[in-house]
Amino acid sequence: MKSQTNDPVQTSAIIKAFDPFNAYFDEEAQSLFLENVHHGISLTFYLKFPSSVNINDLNGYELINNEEVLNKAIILKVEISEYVTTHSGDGNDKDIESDDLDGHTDEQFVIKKLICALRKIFSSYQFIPYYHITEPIDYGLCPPSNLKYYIIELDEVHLKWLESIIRFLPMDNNCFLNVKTLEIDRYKYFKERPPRNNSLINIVQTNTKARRIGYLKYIITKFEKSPYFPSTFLSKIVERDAAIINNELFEYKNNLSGNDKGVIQLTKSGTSAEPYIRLLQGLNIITVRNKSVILTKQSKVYSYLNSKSKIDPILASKLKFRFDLFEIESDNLFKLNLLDRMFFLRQILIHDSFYFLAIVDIISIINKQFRAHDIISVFQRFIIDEINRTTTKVKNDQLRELRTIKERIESWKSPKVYLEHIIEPRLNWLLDLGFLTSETKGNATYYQMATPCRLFSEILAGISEEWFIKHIHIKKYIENHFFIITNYIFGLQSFKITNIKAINVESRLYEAFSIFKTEAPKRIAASQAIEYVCYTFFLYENIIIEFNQLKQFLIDKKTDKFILEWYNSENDGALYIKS
Amino acid sequence: MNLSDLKLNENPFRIGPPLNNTKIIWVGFPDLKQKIDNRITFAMKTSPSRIVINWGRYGSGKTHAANYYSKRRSLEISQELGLQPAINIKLVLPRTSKDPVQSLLRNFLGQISLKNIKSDFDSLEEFFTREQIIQIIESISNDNIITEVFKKVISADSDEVYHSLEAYLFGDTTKGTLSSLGLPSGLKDDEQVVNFLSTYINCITYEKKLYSSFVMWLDEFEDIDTLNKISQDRFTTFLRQLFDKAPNNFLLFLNFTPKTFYNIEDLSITLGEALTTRAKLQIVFEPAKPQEAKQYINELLNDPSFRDQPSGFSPFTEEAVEYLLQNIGILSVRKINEVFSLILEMALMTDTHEINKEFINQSKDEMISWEG
Repeated sequence: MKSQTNDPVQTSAIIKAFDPFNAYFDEEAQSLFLENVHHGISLTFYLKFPSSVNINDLNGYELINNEEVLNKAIILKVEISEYVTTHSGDGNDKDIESDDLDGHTDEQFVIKKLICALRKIFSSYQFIPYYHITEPIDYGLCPPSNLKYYIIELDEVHLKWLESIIRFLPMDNNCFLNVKTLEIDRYKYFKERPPRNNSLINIVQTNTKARRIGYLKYIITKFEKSPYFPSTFLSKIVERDAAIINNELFEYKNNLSGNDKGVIQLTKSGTSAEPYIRLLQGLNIITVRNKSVILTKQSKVYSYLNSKSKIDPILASKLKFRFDLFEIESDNLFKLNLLDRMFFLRQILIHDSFYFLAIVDIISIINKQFRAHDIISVFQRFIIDEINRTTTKVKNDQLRELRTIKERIESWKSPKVYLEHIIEPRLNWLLDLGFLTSETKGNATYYQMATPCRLFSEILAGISEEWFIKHIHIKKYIENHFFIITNYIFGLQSFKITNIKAINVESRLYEAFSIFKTEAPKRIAASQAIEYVCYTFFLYENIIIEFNQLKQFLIDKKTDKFILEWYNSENDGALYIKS
Repeated sequence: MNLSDLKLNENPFRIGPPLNNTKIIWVGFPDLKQKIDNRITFAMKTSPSRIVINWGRYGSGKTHAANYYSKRRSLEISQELGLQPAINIKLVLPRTSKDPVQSLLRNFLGQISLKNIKSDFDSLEEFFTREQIIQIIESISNDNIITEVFKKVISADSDEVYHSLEAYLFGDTTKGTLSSLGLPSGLKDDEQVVNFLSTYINCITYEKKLYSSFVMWLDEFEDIDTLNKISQDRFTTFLRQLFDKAPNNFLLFLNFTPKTFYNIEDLSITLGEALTTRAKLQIVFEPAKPQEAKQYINELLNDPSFRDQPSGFSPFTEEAVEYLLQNIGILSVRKINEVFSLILEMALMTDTHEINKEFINQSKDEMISWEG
């Protein structure tokens, strides 16, 4: 397609249409910066003038009024930008984590402007341009600017739409996006040594068949009967027994607004169950030791509570909380209850943050009914862009990992086939988690954002506003705000407690000791104890205690009955009963 | 000023092991000592092999116990009880090794050399005829090659054969060595290493005539997680098999520091059910309670190796000792030694004859462990 950037009429026409108030030309960079203060959008044209043209000492105003010179330039790319003024903080910003979900007016969020712009662009032209958010560089000479802005890049391919974009972008079409912020103590975050096994990009390898989270739940329940299974045998055992729940799968699709893809069938060599077992490993729910498959320490709290809910009617009723007025209550395995949704969402967010959050972002930008195909067609480009964005925010020693992954992704041959293995499972997980609803029209499945997803996007927007890159910081948010996030997105009625001394955590800690004890004398893994207390208070008592909050309580020795030794490098510790 | 002004021959709170191994001492912690004494006595007097897991945080004294018992106390016990002595060996878990079993074998041979093995078998002839010994070897090893190896050891009469055997045991499998020994293959297979070690153990403790027990201390076992998974599985399998093939007179202590791991609670999950069911016995090296710590410090200061005449807590006041112990957090022996050693050195530096509470307060900025 002939690039229209060479069409001289367009360049000056675009600028006229933009009606800039300020113009600044950087002779060395050959970039022309234009600002329209009326609607706050600015454009930066990166130009290439032929050497025959004299651009010396031209200033911006002169240039934009000099059509002849202007139209001789080729446009290499254009940046569209909007800014917000950040609220001024003094040096002593609050350094305690708070769950202030309100408190800012929307106009102060650059992420809101960005997402609205991206939505409009996608809605018209079905593509997601490269974007990033930035704060201006502090040159140290003047007082630092308190502006934050986004930049959207239009490359040669998409320049043909520039004129129409700058026409519709400033239009106020009611972009409904709340931004919910949660505070993180930055100082503490950066002071802690990162744990081992800390990779920057977290991806779980998936096969298109591993779609139903209900099957993951089913395999976990097998461990109630036996603490381990021979690794060569587990898939055969799962397949052999999975036929029992086939009817639940079909019920899930037919009566419970679910989907029945990804069924486990009996095969000769266990290949049907394999994708799910691989997925469980990728999500760090099971692991292999001594050629046996066992539950990880991370999944034991869930496993215990899950099995308990079958005999404890109070717990069972708390888990069956209706997420949607129109939802039918059901015991169906594939219709995940509250505990399931919390646990699997958490594992996915920690271990698959890169792909999973990318998909949620794309869904939020599309902002209307979509098919898997819509995600597939933009995904490769999007995650490459996300890696590029990440590159600007990491230390030098992490660049190599990013480069390796980027090269791998760029080299995907027949990405459409490959992407099916990435996108289909995750859309189905989102469906099972209640983040999406689906509708079948003919042969195609159409998905739509459900309320939890919309609310979750608001929180993700808050994280983007603070850190720009979400997937590397999401884990910290889970450690500090998992329960309040869950409470918010599922519309529950729990409340946060700030003074742990006011409630009796000790008795639950004692319970944890008897549930999670191993051969190691007199100690249990601290993470299990803390998770158990947080989950049980949340589920039984509607009280929110966050993981880091309770951990700090124990580290500060606010209880005289337990001793906590915490090792940052292992991201865990040991809890002892004080004798 | 020097230590003798404080009525001390040397700093009793040294952090490292003593230069002279046989002078290694145990002070304080009488209950713990009794427990370990009992275990060793039991092993010497009874037949069944046992695995005992010693749990204790870093600095709780597990390595010191391994050194103390293997270098000194085990022999004392056998003498006190009038029993045949035990063989004691302390090994450290092979770390980051591509072949942990071979690495362990090499460590073993480093302490129990071919010379020792030969002399042990020679000594066995006080109790059994050579034919009997060979019969015992054959029935125990259940492995032709290993039987041949031991036969060669017993009958080794020339330097040449001797050196070839040594090379063989250390992994030399060249044609020359093998053919000179008349052996078909090398000692590479894990199972063969098991057979080799178990045959040795079973023979020298046979009917407790020569040795009453074979005691192995395996230190730093928690480092098994520095090995890759395959090596970990291999090593735990090796231990299980060794234990199964030496059902009598073998006492294995595993020194464990409880560590947290990426996705399992602790090592007992990894050891595998087979090993943990054989290892129901545990000795816990608990942190000291304040009274125990006081007793330890008292006995240490007044041990004859450091002091000619007992002088209580001097140069510390009793109050200073209590004050220190209250303010350094969890009382591991290592931490106590570090702190008290530091204070002692500071006293020497400042010509202080009496270490009291005030001195502690002046010095606490120097102490990393201070938690007051």
